[in-house]
Amino acid sequence: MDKRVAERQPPASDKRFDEIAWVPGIRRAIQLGTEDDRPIFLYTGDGKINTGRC
Amino acid sequence: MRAGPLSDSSVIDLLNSSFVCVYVNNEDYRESGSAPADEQKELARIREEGLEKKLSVGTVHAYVLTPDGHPVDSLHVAEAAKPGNTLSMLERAVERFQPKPGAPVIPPTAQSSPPPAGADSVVLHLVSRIWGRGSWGDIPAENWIVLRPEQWSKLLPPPPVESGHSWELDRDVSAKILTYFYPQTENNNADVARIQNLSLTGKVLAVENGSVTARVDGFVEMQHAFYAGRDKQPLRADVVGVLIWQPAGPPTLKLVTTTAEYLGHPFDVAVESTSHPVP
Repeated sequence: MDKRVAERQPPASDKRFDEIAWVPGIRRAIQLGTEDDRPIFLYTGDGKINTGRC
Repeated sequence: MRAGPLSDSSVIDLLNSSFVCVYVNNEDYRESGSAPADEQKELARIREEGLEKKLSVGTVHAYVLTPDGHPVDSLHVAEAAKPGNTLSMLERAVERFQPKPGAPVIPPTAQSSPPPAGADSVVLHLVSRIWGRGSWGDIPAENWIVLRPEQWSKLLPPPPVESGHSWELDRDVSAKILTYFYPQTENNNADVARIQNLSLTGKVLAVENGSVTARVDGFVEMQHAFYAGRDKQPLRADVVGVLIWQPAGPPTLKLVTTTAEYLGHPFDVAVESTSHPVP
């Protein structure tokens, strides 16, 4: 049972989304964008892209 | 997007070195959603400004904003997901804003993590993946299921607990778990009313020093629509698992599908108890 559960966990190649430094919330993103003078990348989607239920 | 550009090394490196990145789940930003009102207003403002600037605007989109939050470029997801398009949009922004490359503005962290729950709760992590569906199957789906003491206690048999004893796990609590036994689909309505039939049966394998180990066998049958609001299609999953508990504490549970099929494609599910933050 342990082996079957382990085999079905997402490998690192399925979790590359987590390698991106996602900021929690638009207002926080604007605050950091202004402070660091960086443009903002915003993705809007249906469902929950972070869990794959989208 | 997650299986395409947002898993591409060139995109990830550029986002981390030169951008501030944020994603929103639309249902959280609807009027009745969980996002704060000020957050919802910001998204509405960005979309309104995008329309005024005649950018592509919609619910499923990738945008580039100025550092102070005004839209300057955008792609519908169908375009953003095509090879090279998102990277090209980001490179245009770098050319325009000339950000100083550096470390990510915050450390990257896991985006799917166990929710806070009481110390006496059971938190289950579920992973589901369909096979043979192309892009839909590229990234597995995850759910976090919280069972409070009054719920997980119904999974256990009444005393006395002896080796060989069999019992039926509580149907409502079983449904709370099995309702997420569906593969990646665009529709994520996990209402238990979709379930037509289910059963989880336990059989005690061993009782040692108060610790009980039981095998769990069962199945779920439901009608699940691939797209929200469309016709539902039948789904069946057969499961096997292990339930372990001691008299004074919450159980640990592991479940896997042995066979499961939806729309003619097999899929796999695994569930296991996890540690979780306590509020």
